[in-house]
Amino acid sequence: MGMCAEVRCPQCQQDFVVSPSMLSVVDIKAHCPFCDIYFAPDESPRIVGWNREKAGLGAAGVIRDSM
Amino acid sequence: MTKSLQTYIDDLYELLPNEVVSVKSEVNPANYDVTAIIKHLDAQKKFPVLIFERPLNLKGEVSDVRLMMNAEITQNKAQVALELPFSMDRAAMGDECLRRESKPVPPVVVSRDEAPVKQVVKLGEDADLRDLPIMRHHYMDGGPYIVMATVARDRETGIYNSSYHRMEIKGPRLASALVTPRHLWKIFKDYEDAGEECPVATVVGHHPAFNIGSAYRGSLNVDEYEICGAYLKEPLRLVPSEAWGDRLLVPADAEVIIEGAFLPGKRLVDGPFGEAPGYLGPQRYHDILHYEVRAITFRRGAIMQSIITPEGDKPWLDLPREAAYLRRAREAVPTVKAVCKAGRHSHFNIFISMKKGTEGDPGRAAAAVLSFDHAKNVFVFDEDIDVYNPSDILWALATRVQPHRQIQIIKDIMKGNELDPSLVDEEAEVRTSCMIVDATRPLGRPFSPVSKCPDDAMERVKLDTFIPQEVLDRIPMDRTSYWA
Repeated sequence: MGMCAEVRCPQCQQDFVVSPSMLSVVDIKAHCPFCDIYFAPDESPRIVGWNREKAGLGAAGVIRDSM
Repeated sequence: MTKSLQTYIDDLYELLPNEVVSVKSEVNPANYDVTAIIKHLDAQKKFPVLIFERPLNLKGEVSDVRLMMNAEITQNKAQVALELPFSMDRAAMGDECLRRESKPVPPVVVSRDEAPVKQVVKLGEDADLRDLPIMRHHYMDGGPYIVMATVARDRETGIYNSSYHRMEIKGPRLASALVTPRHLWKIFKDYEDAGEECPVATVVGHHPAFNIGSAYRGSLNVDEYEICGAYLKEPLRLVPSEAWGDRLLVPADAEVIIEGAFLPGKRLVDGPFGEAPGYLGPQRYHDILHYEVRAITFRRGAIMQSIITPEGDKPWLDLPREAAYLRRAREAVPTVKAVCKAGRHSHFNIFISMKKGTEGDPGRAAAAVLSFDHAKNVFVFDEDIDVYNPSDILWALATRVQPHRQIQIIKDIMKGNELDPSLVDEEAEVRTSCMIVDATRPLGRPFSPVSKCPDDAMERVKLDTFIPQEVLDRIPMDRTSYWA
């Protein structure tokens, strides 16, 4: 784990950086700086640097890389 | 005449006329036009004050408000702002900051009629942030941002705080504000814990001495409007805000003021944003406050500013922070000569020079500054080292340090800065390790003297006796042997 996680936008497929603690907030929606949509972390096709189970949010519904 | 951004521009035209550039072409600040122009100039080592006469607002229209960048970007502009001679060196400027801070100047309150910032008043639904020419500063920024001083008043003491916080524009009357656990956070939490809104205002353009004063780092018990007055060398003129009346006074001579409230119990998603350390600060939530905008007031012909540069570097604006480190180091060791704590290379690094009296002096000075702000690495040098010159610094590190004796690592017991990308685990605890490097020569044994031309020869030999001034003038200055 580090100071940022890399999140891929489900719409434009671009990656941006997010604080891992933000992703651990229940019902949080990340904001894509490139295409301006909001989406739940579960909707992201790829998150690097954050582990949902370690954050106490249960098993992930999507395939994730973790560091 | 009362100081304002307009009087500063007049001073620049008089004292540095070649360093003010008025850009008449339309620019779109929200599409990185302004960032790109600054970067192109940076590449040529040119740092003029830029006044964009026809910037687009967030609706894509030419704004009624102009945009100014680079107001205090270089030493000579900071000297104009603070009315200091161009001959004054940076160490002396740090001393001057401490002198001014020791003599705060109380503000005065004026009527609305006397306040230029009330010439145009937009309230409620007429107040629309999208009417302003707000910049997108960096690749991957979450949106357009304002980064200027936000003022608030302590709920218990009534003391004013003025400090810089990134502020992402989310809607016509909605912004987010990153407020990390320092003074403004404490002020907001007092209101939030009482279930109340926290009155705030953002000063989007003022005389650079106000902007520099707002970078002051000291006790929460110091009224920062009084500090701004000390930097301005005159009382800051205040006027009741539209949203809060006398509960929140705002600078009467500002260019643009955004007024509103931090709402209790609410947070927003914000970022990423290119931050002061030179990296993108990740998108965040926990310390991002919900800023509800209720009024925007401005001068006719107003000019708004942003203090953030493309790399996040704002060394001359940060002079008071550097002075705060100098004050702490000197409290521990009075023979501290200078401190460098401003500029991209010294964001988490502190460089101290001193006349060492005992072998323990470097450690004391280093410990004094490590307890402050977000210091991580402290380097202590002898007084002959120019701590503002990276070449001097690296020479001393190479020649005066035996690493196994003079470098101390402190394990990760200190709170780190969330914007330091080298920290290892943001979700566990934001703690940093620290380093102290004593790069001073030993006192108790001979140490090879620095090789140099004898002082008497330097005094005796006058250059123009051997090389006529007109020849000297023809030789181009070559900076390739220096960094910077």
